[in-house]
Amino acid sequence: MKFRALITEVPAMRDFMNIALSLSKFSKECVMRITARRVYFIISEEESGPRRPLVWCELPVNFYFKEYNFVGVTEQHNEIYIEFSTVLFARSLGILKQDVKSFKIKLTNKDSPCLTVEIELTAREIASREVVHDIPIEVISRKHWSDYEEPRFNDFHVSIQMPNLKALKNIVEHMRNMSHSLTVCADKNGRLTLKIKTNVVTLSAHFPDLSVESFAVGQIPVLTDCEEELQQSVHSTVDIKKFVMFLSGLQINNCRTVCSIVHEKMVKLHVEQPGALTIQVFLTELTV
Amino acid sequence: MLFCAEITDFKIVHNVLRSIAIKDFAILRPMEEGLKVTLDDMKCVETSAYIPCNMFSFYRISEKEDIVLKVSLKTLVEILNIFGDDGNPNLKLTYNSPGSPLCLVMKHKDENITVDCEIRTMNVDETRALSLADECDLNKIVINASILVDLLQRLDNFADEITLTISPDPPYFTLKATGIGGESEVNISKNSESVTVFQCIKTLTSQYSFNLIRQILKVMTYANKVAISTGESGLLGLQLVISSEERHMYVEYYVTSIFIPE
Repeated sequence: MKFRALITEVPAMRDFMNIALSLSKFSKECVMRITARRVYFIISEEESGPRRPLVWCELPVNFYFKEYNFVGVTEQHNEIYIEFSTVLFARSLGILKQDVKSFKIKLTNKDSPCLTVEIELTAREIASREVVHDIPIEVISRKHWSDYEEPRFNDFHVSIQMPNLKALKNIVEHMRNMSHSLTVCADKNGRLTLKIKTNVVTLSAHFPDLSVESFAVGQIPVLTDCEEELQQSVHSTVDIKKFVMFLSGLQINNCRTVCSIVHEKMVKLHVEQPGALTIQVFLTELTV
Repeated sequence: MLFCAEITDFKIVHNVLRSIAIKDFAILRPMEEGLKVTLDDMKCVETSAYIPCNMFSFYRISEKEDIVLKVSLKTLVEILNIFGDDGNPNLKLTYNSPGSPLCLVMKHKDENITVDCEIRTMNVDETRALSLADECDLNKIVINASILVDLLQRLDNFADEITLTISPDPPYFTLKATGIGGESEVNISKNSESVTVFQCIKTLTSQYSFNLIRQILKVMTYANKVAISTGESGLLGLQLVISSEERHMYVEYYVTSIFIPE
């Protein structure tokens, strides 16, 4: 089991830091899955029961790392799964805001297994400095790997482009002060509607004219409502706190975001910077 | 349709309503002259905000009946700010019939976003007929609001009570805060530049809970002028004039005095 990776380009470091920062806003702990071609960060639902991924982040190795040495657990199972604190990780990587020459990340065995971050700062008036952080980790044994399998869904009833996330975030943050749940609706005409309903208030925010990537109306389970317009829309009700957590935690700009809905089952938010990263957030239907 | 109104640029309305929203529910009275929003607390404090009809770009009410409805003010305030600071939306309010919800439709100016919402309304059990303004008919002072806010904030902030004395003789107007920490006192002369009106028939001294007076400070920071009026019963009235781009709205605050045994 071996892992050592080096980043020397500043933009790649910044992106990597922003991902670490986003992860720390999403959850206290995360699982890092290291493979030969990709590095994954996985955040699971905190509730007990079967661990379902909440956030799934995927980074291609060749975009970030100049050097990448990796040997998995066994030849047959050529992967590594480790778990650590996102807060420590984000704090260590916060140094990348400064003028950094190189950034090295590797698995070490000091007193306990660690993810060691070595950052070499650019020399100015003073001599060059190197910062070393050891983040304690827990290695996840192979029998638990299946808990972190990549979620595969292809039965979404609709996939629709998301509007400007900043405006959307403002609205959803105010909605959170009034309600616990959020209904996300989309129709084939490209209208995304976010809706809350409580004893006191019913509120809908409409975002029209978005591009619809796919719409599978025929597969939607029988809808009793006779209004035609309603029949053409897909919706799911999710935990508003998790929705807000995603919007306010995401530290990455200029992304393409797509919202996919399985009718009355789940909402998936998919953020992509082509070639550099994908982040998926899985919000399952809230059961009352 | 009982009531229908439209307004653009209502940031000041949102700010004022937010700073008076100490209780959840408020009574809305759309009247010919404008919209009145009233809250009361334990029958010893009453706050009203008036949004005159000229602040609206469109304003229409049914003349057949009095319109009174009760809504959650916290929810209303939350919704008015739903786009955050950069939304600058326009708002349409409608109220169809007794018992129907208060409907709001807002459009974001720059982004193509529409928000529509329905706030549940409740019946108003009692309608108070007596006018509090008539009770505060004895003495009246009009003073620059920022000066008054400043003075009140500088008084001992841990004080429990505040005593107000208005007198035709010097020192004319006295605010005294009393608490376990001691006393702090400030006098304002009627000849002060900040005092524009000073009408005093006889000396009146009343004591109020400082906590209740502090409630109004938040909204007073938006005001230009404050009229302080008192009456024989000890009721204190504060009328605030809040100006924004040559449009005015008003806030009225009434608070009962603490009973002092002789």
